[in-house]
This record gives sequence, C-alpha cells and structure tokens, in this order.
Amino acid sequence: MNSDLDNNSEAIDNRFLARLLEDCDPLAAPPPQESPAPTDDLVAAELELDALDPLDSEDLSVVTDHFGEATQGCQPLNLGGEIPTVQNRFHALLKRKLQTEIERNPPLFPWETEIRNYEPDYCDSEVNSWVPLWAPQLSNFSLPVTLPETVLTQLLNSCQEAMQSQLQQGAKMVRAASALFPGQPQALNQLAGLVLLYPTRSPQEQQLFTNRYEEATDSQQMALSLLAAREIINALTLPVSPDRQPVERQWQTTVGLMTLRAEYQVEGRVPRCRIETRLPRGGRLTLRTPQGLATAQRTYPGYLSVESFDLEPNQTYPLEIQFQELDRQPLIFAIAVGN
Amino acid sequence: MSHCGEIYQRVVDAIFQLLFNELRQSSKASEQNCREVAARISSEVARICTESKRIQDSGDIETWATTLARLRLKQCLHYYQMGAHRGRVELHSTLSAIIYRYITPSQVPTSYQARLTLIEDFLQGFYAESLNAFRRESGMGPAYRPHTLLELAEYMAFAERYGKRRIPLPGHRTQQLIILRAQTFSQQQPPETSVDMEQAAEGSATDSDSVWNEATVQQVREAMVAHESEPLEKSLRQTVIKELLAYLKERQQTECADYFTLRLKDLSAGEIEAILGLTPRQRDYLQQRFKYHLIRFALSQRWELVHQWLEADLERNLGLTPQQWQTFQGMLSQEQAELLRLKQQGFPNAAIAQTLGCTVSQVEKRWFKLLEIAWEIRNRSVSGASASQDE
Repeated sequence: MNSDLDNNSEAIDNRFLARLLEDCDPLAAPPPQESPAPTDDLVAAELELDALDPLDSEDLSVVTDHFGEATQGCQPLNLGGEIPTVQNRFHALLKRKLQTEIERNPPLFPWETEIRNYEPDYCDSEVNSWVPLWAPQLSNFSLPVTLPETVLTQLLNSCQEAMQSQLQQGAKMVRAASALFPGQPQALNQLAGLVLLYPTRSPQEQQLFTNRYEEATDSQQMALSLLAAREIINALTLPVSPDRQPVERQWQTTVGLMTLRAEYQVEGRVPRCRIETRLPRGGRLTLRTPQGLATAQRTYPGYLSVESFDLEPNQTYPLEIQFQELDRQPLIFAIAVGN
Repeated sequence: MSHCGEIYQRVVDAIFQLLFNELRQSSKASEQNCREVAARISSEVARICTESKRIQDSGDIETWATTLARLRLKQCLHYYQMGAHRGRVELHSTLSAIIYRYITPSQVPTSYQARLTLIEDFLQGFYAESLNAFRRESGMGPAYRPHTLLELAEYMAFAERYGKRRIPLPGHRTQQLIILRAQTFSQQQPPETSVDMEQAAEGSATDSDSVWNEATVQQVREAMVAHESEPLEKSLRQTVIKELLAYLKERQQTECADYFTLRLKDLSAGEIEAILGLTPRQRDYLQQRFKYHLIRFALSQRWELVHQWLEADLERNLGLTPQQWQTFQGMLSQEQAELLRLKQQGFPNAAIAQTLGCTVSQVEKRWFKLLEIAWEIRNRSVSGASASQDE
C-alpha cells in the first residue's frame, strides 16, 4: 500500500489539503475589491444588542426540540464557513487541553481577590471582613521582627492618612503609630527620634528586639511600629521635583504586582506631573489637587496614566489607586513635590 | 398593556413556583436565597415571553416559559453541582475554547502560550462586563455581587449565556457576542488605555494604525469568504470534511482527525504541537500518517465525492482540458483505457472486476493509479502558475 505514496502523491495531497483548508483560511481568499465596511459590523453589533430578540440569544436546540414547527424559519442564522462537526470537535479538543491548565490556575471573578468556598447561605460579616488586597507588600518590608497582619493593616490605614499632611517624616510616623498606641505621644516621639537615626537592618537594631512582636515590651512594640510606619510611608511616598530623576515604586497586591512611575517637570513656567502605572487588573487612577482632578480608568490589566498641571512645590497630593470590582478602600500614595 | 401585564403576572407566578421548588430540592441554599434566585429567573423568562414576537405569535406562552425556565434552571444547577472551583474551570475553558481562534496576538507570532495570555486578560474584562450586564438585566443595582454558591452558579450560567448570545450582523449573519468582543479586543489592544505608554514613548500612532488596518483587511477577507462561496460548493466541501472525519474515526485515527480539525482552524504547527502535546517530530509523523489517509480517502474510498467537489468527476473528464484529456488517454495502457471506459459507463467495481478478470481490490488499486495520473496532469498546469501550496 505504501508504494502508492510516492512523490506524486505528495503533490496530490498538498493540493487537495490546500483546497480543503483554503476556504477557512481568510488569507487565501482574494483581496477585497470593495469593502463591505467591516468596522460598521462591529459598531452595528454594539448598537443592536438592545434591540435583540431575546430568543436569538438562547441556545435554541433545546427549545426547538419541543417546538419544531413553531420556530421554523427562525433558527439563528448560520455564520458562513463554520461546520458544526468541526466546530464541536475543535472546541472539545481545546477545552480538554485548556482545562488541565486552568485547573492549576483558576480565574478570579471581578469581585474576588482569592478563591474561597461559597457557603450555601449569605453571611453578612464575611462580606465586610477585611480582604488584604494591599497586604502582600507589607510582608516585603525589611523589618527586624515580623509584625502581625492586624498591626500592619492598621498601620497601613493610619499611614495613608498621616502622609497627606505637610508634617516632617518623624511626625508622620508618630501620628501613624499613635493609632496603635493612643495617649502615648511622648514615648512615641522619643522613640521616633531613635528610629530615625538607625538604618533598618543595622546590627544595633537587631539587638533591640526579641523574636516575636507579641513578646516584645511596650516600647519595643512602639519602636517596631514606628519602623514599620517609616517603611510604609517611604513606600507610599513619591518624592518628585524638577531636578530629580523620575521615581519608581512597586507594590505587591493579592492580584499581582503594581508598578508606578512619577515624573515632574517645569516646562516654561508650567509644572507638569505625570504618573504612569501598570495595574494587574482593571482599575482607576485619581490624582487630586485643590484645583482639579486627573483620573483615568481601564477594564483590563495594563498601563494607565494621569497628568496634572496644578502641582506646586512643597505640597503633597494624594494619588488614589482602586481596582475595578473590588469594593475595597483605595491605596493612597502621596506625591510630594520638592523644590 | 393590561393584557401584557396579566400574562406577565401569570407566567411569573407559575414559573416562580416551579423554580423555587426545584431549587429547594436540588440545592442546599437557604429558602430565602432560593426565593431570590427563582424570582430573578422567572422575571427574566417572563420578560422574554412578553418581548418575543415569536412567542407571542405562537399562542402558547406558558409552554415556552416553562421550557425556557427549565433550560435556565438546568444551566444554573449544572454550575451549582460543580461548585465554586470546578464550575469556574468549566466556564473559563468553555469560553476560552470559543474565542481561542479569534484572539490573535498582533506583533508576536501566534503561539499557544501567547494566545492563552491574551485570553486570560480578555476574559477578566469579559467577566466584569457580564457581571454588569447581569446586574442591569436583573435589576440588581451596581454593587451587587454573588455571595452564595447558588448565586455564583447563577452568575456563571448567565455569563455563559451572555457570551453565547447571537448578535445580528449585516448580511443576514449573526455572531456570538463574546467572539465580537474578542475580535475587538484583539484588534485594538490595548483596548481603552487613556494614554498608551508604549505608544506615547514612540511618539507616533502609526504602529497601532497598521495593526488595526491589517486586522480590518483580514476581517473583510473573512466576510468575503463567507459571502463568496457558492452554496452548493460550500455544502459539498462540508460533506467532504464530514466524511473525511468519519472515515478517520472509522479507522480509529482519532489523532489524525484531531490534527485535521486543528489544521482546518488554521492553527500554526507550534500551536498544534502544544494542543496535542506532541514534539515537532511526533507532529511530523502524525502529519505523514494523516496525509496517507487523506490520499486513500481522496483517490480510493470516496473518490467520487472528492472529484465532484473538485469539479473533476468523470462527466467532466476528471477536470482535464481537452488537450490534457488527450495526453492522459495517450498515457494509459490498454487495460487502463478499458478500466476508464467501464468506469465512464458507470459499472460497479464488482462487474468491472469480472469483465477484466481480476479481483475487486485490484480494480480499486488500478483506479487509484489512474486517478493519480490525472491528478498529476492537472497539477502540472497549475504548478507553473502558482507556487505549490506546501504544508
């Protein structure tokens, strides 16, 4: 039998196969002479969605089983070139292959930050529970002792508030930490001076602390909180000025890494600040000034930028980042404009 | 209006009760939750029944409503029974398979992985869109999100239905919504960045323009193909493809059938390897095996069908020009000429075998050889004009 498969056959099958395939290969078709304006197709599709007969949207095969006559002539119109047998086989084949991969990395729906079990009944408390969307970054900070998540979370919130003030860094740290240690501003102030002096990860600092936050003394806990506050404030502050290089930051979230880049220039007399971000999912970017609001949003993950011409030296401006569908608090950075 | 209102109420009541009972029986959801979901499904069904002229004209609104409600219930419970994890894997793989071919990475050469990455991005946006559509169509308010497993299942069933909605296009065609979205996404990537950083960095929009144009041209071509094929020719081609698949299946050549299916969808060799889990070498073997069967099919098993489709059947002198036909006949031995004559007269193989004094399988082999010669002559005339359409 194989002797039939000589060189002649090679040409035959190539030609036959090419002919079989060419109808479904758009590039094999002759170039268009007159354009049926395909972009209008898409626009039309958008517009006609509302006017659509809802039944056309049904998979009518089930329905028509029951209503053979009723739907005659009302079948969804067939798209040229698609053969159901091939289509079904193709989908089944791909689906099988995709499933094994998706199984390993299942998708998240817009409102989710993690895959959790859905309970048979609605549970109110769980909805309001804090989902640590911004938390992964907190564990990246270099601190001598790991702080409990609850402490870090509270610090993150209070830091974001404190940062928007025009205070010095030490005062911001104290204000942020005082949310955890109310009524002890003096002790915090003293420690803040010390903390500011020591670089993190210095040998001296290592000796200052025990291994567990919970076992630390009050003043050790304060010092640790101040250190954490310093790290958070640094990470959330984007210091810009005309003679500075653009500043870049990264922030790890539960849905992926977010990157930011801020640049400030004075062209002529007009100051111009441009923030570029890459978001791991769709979201919104807002830069507020007393005079205006620069905002941008997108549905899919990717780049997003805003620009403002209102920023003045020696001022701090909030930059909010919010992810789509995650009804969480935004993460607020501070754009600190220098001289 | 009052008539519509009456219908609406009657349908809602009957359908609601049906759905509520079924949900209570088939799920562990609370009574309240079943009530809410049943209410949403029944009012949607009622809306369809009042809006659809087809249903109104049928005069049997309640039967329609029941069928539609059961269909939705089935879809919802399908996802419910799979649970939050398996359900989403199911939905995601179903939708990915539908749009796979329509997501085309613009600059990167198309590969399985490149498409998968884009599909991932695209579906994220699609889930957001379908959530909004669900909120809108079920009147749930902009902050609604599924909380319970039943609600999640309801959303997943909706997202699947929403994606599969058929959108009318000019020229009496329709296309599924998710495919249209995937095409738009694919052509205009990135879709709605207010400022595209990379583009801004290069300081011009030319690049994205040309990508867009190319996609447009491709779309035009696709539309042309859809419009141009003659109905008869097209249905013949469909028959050939269907029969070839059946032929491969009959010979337990599932892998060949899979390979052919992927080729029909115009996938690159790399993608085919990735999807079938083959090395390039293995794919090459498979390709050879497929070709072998393809030739048997075209020249032996279903030669009549194939030649009819190629407009090269016996009535048309095997598709040869008068001059070629002469050459062809000149090349035949006396025995072959006799075989041709008998075939032209429409004798079945068994009769021909008897006349020629050989077995049926010998007749088949000789006929195979003869068709091969004709094919070669036909090829010679085109091979000069167009470069060989190689694999």
